Amino acid sequence: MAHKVTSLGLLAAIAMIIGYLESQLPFSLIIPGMKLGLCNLVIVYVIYRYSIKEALMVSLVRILVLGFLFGNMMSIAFSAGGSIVSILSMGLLKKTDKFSVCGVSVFGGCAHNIGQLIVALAVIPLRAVLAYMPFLTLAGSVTGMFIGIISMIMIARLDAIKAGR
Amino acid sequence: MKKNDLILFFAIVLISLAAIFILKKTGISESVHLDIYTDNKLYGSYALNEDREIDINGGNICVIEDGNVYMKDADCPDKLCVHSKAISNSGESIICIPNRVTLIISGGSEEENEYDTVVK
Repeated sequence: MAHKVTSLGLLAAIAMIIGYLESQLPFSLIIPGMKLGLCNLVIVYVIYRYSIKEALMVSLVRILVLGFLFGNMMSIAFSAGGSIVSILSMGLLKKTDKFSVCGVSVFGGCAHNIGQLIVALAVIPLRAVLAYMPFLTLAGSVTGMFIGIISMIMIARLDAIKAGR
Repeated sequence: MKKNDLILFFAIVLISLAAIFILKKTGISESVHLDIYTDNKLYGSYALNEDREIDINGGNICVIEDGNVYMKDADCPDKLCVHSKAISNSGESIICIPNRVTLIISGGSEEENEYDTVVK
């Protein structure tokens, strides 16, 4: 139990640091609102080696801490909306057992953007949201693929390290 | 990586590209139009994709040409509105103060407007 708590705490911390590093990359210049979603590396790992419940907890800690430190209520709402939709859909897709890490991550990337747009409906008219949706799902699938490939390598290596302990 | 992953990936990419194409075709995302106000009351709304000349109460003549809007003529003394640069983007405006005429382009997707705030 103690081992699990420390591991998850460490993973949440890593997710925050990665998220901060990512915010320093001028990546969103391509499409406004687009980002690599590097924190998803951690979330995908937690979904695969723990479960959806732990992934939601790690994500919640990350969002709340980062939100209160650097963000505002709006950024917390956006992040939470995206993360919850993303984690739940990744969990569901993983349960079907028809996809590997890459497919799950691609789906999660899109779902994250869709979740954020659902939150955005509170402030932006539906038509504008729909017009923006395909751009974000496109971006989400490409970055999701990228994250998926890295996750695949990362999970294998972390397992090897754990096995060697 | 499984075959299903690639199928899922390309399915999403294709659907997204198709959706972008359809949106471009139907112009749902491009609802930018010209609103003309006189005395703070809406005088009329005009699409930008159709070239036309609009006579506003006999005082001002406004022209829509290739998606650009400019004031062709005005009976006011200073002609500031006539000398104004042509406008084409959402949020831009030309104002004739003596005749109390305002040309403003509005609508369109939110991204084209200036950002109020950016959340990451």
